[in-house]
Amino acid sequence: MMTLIVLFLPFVAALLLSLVKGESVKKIALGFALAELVLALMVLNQYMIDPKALSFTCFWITSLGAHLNIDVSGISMLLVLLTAVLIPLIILSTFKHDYKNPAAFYALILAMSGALIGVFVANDLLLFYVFWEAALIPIYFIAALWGGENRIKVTFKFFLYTVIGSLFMLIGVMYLYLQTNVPHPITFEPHHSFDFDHLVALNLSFQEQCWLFWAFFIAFAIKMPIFPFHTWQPDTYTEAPAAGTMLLSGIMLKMGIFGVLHWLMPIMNEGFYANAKIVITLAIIGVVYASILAIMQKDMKRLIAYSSIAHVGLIAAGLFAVNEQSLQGAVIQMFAHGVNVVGLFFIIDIIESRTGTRDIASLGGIINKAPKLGVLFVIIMLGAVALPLTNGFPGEFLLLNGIFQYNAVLAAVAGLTIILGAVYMLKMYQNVMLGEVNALTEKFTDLTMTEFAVLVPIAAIVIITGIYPQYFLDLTQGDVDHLLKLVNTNIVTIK
Amino acid sequence: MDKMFYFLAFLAILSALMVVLVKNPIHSILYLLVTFTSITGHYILFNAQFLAAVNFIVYMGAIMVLFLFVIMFLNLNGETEPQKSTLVKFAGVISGGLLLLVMVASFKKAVTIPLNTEVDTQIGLIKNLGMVLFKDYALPFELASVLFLVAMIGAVMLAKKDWK
Amino acid sequence: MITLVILALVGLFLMIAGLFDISRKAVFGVAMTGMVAALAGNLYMWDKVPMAYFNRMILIDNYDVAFITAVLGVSMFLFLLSENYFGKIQNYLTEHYALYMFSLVGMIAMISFNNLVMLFIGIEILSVSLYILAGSEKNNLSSNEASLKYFLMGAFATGILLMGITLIYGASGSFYLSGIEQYFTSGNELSPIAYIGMFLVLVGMSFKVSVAPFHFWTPDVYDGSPTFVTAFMSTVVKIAGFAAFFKLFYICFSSVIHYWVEVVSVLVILTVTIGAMTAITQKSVKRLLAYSSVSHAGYMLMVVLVGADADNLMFYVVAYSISSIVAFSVLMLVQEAAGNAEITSFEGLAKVNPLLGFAMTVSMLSLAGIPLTAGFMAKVYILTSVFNAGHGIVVLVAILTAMVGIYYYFKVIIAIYFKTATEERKLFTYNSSSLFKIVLFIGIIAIIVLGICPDIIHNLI
Repeated sequence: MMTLIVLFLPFVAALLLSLVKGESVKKIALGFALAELVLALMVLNQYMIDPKALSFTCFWITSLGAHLNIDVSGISMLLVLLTAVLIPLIILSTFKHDYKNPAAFYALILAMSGALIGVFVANDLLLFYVFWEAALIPIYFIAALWGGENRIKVTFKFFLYTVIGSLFMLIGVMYLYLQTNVPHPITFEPHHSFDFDHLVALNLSFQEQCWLFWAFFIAFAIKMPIFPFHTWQPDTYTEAPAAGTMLLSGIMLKMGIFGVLHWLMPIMNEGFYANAKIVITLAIIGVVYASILAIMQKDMKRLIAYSSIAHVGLIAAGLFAVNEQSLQGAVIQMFAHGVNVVGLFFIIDIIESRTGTRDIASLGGIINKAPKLGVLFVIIMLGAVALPLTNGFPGEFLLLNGIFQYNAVLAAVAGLTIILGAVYMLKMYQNVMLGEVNALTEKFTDLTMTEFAVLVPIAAIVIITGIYPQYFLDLTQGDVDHLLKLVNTNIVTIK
Repeated sequence: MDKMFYFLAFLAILSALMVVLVKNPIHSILYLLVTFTSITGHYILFNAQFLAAVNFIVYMGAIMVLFLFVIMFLNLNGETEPQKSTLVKFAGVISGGLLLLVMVASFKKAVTIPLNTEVDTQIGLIKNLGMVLFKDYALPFELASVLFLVAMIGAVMLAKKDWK
Repeated sequence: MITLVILALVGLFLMIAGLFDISRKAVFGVAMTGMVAALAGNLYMWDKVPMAYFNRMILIDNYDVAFITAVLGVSMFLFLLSENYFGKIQNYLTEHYALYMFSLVGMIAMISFNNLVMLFIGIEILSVSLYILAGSEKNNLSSNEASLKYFLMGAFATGILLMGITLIYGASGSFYLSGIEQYFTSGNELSPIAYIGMFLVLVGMSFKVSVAPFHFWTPDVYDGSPTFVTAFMSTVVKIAGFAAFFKLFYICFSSVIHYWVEVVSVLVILTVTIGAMTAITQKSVKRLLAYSSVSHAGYMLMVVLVGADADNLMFYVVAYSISSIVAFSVLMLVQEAAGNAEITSFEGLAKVNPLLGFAMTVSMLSLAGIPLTAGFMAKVYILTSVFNAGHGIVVLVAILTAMVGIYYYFKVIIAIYFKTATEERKLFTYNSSSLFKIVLFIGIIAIIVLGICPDIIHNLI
């Protein structure tokens, strides 16, 4: 029941918000987002006590056998928590902007958060697909209505690219649906079902698994993105407004990773294992490629966008290496990356709104004018670089460890990411914050209260989860073990 | 009776060919009239009195006369009409020929269905036709009146000059 | 049956009423009341034992009641959104309404037929009414052209249909659906005339519902006719056409399905592909909607391919019709304000009139098949059942063309929201009364609700 409220509250809030006029829209939106956070914490509490109580089922489309079936497992709990934590921060971060038509803006943000939570808690494949696509519509309008100059073409390319991937996934969804054959709960006739448990219990042949794997994986690969499906990402991140980029990079790309973990691995385990090598290779190529490109970037936002591809490539490689370290590493790194990248994009937003530019070369010496910003920036940046004691470290370490167990050479190449990441991050920090103050940065004022209120929690999370990540590891341990069992039991024949 | 059939069939085909081959449109229509006369003759051979009478009165008497009027009004000539390219003509001949081939082949293979009842030779007589039309097929017959009403509305609506 | 009578009588009454000087509102009121009464008479037959009337000429069962309800409901929805159109007609107002009533009569005969003669008469009544209505804008040359083209091609197709009916009668000895079904399932060697007749009927019916490659009349006719008539033709006529198509093929020819399933799947693939490909380059929204209606006809034809799911057909036609009518009604207003139906006339619509912009966006999303709209659920239902029947290639082609479809539907959305209107267009007033706004809003809600809870309409047949 509680999960139902957590799921539908953002939608109701979005509807109500679109009717509000005037300045109080921002505060009301923040209020709803904080209420969502409180609810999510209550769900977390309930999860620690009794996970079973959180699942909810009711009839949705009886003629198709689709149910409103939501459930919270370890990984999805983590991601719901991530969403609930990030949305208030994102809303707070937009306070200093004066967007025209704010009611629509905040309503779209809240609607998107609802759809994202829906993706994470859906236990019914059709429900998952509907929320997956539904999350795309608000972000398209956010990016296209409030974005930068080149936004129309770029966002349309983003939308079209993603929908093409989702349509391939639809073929896979329909095929899986038609393979199931379970008795109807009421009439007891055999009928098809979209339910997760029924799909996992399917006995698919190897051929079927392979093409189904690719049908689903294309959609996830475009969403994450993984090389070579990443071409939409840098442009879209750059053109979208700051809040849009934060939503995209902080939470939306986790949808792709979650899809692999929750749907691809359990259902298509043989196909998964057989195609893992190709995917890991692509992912690691993406890591190195994106890191090198990031070093060459002049625009801060684009640099972080490329670094995001690099991070996600590493996570994806870890997912497909399929051992305990790599999976745990992937899960932790998801949370860490979400938090870090939101912080980084917000800082870029602050700098841009003060100086009017994102060009690294033309900035400098900001730390002299805004020491608080400098300190918080360095903390979050080091988190992205994966310095020990920051939240990036446990994830990266576990990931590299896991990939090493799979294949030492690939791990060595992936390890380059640490070095390259340090290069572009430190270079960016040095050029922007340190050095001589120039004409652009002369009048830089330090952080306001709202900006401070956003960055301090992020920095705190960076340090705390870096020092004590065990809490999250425990949270998701059960789920990861379950996944490993599912994948490993069915690949005995291949090995 | 056979001779009658062959004569009428020959007449029908010949005049149909002349319809499309002559240059003068008025001659074309007159040949069409001859075609319909031979078809009427065929109907009489079937003992379909009503159909023959209706064909004669409505088709030949009313519709063909209308055709003549329209052609005389429009003053169509062979010279002023745009001709289709040879390629299109070729394509037309080939597709028409294919359709002919298919229909002839199917009709050759067609088997007559053994009917359970005796063929009623009086079926074409007006009295029997009327019985079937007004008893069995009453609904389509009445709905056909709606069809004619619609056609009349259309003729008036489209052709009459607007007054507002 | 009573529906038929009521509608015909209303048509006649309206024609006679045209002799007197009656206000527009009264005429509209009479027409709507007549349609409501017909709908009530139709719903009375729901869930009763199927009754045959007039020597088994028409047979009304749940299937017919559902589709007739859909036809009448969608027509009423369209009429409520149309006061602009009817308000501008100066001459022959009551004759216009009467023609719509008679075309509905034809549609009901087409849907509830039990005898091929009834099917033929119904198609003819419908088509002749539409020939006239397509040409009703007498000062507009493209309207005249549309009417003439429709008439010539339609008459030709009717001729082919009639030849097919004759050949089937020649083979089976009966015009009744049950007699034909008996002949086809009898297991004897079927005469080749029967097969030819079947294909000729397929060709004739495909023409009427604009399935490729018999769709070439569609863009010119839809583009040239007045926008209201186009809306009527592309939605209501398709409902009736496909209801008849499905009924005929399902009852009579499903036993020889192996004969025509490949042909129909090729038709489906062609229709969906051609509809999508040709719509990409369109600059006029009216032509774009015309070509997209061709591709939607392809989806509806898929149900005939599978042969067992009248539910899916019903849901798809209703979802498609509501979305299409919302789009057309916005188009009517924009066309009146801007003078043309190009995509550029829609630019900046969201700022000038947010309700119209939002309505057009929701309808475009539904036609494209984005989740949370009725169009998505409709596509899921149909594609799943096609997949189930084993036609994987058809599903793949449908999904690929859906991707193409998103491109051209989004062109309109982009113009509405993300382009700015020119100065002169900012001054347009879109005359829409409160009735229009309310009904449009109900339409938007219906699209979204059907996208979330499709079971409201789906499990009826």
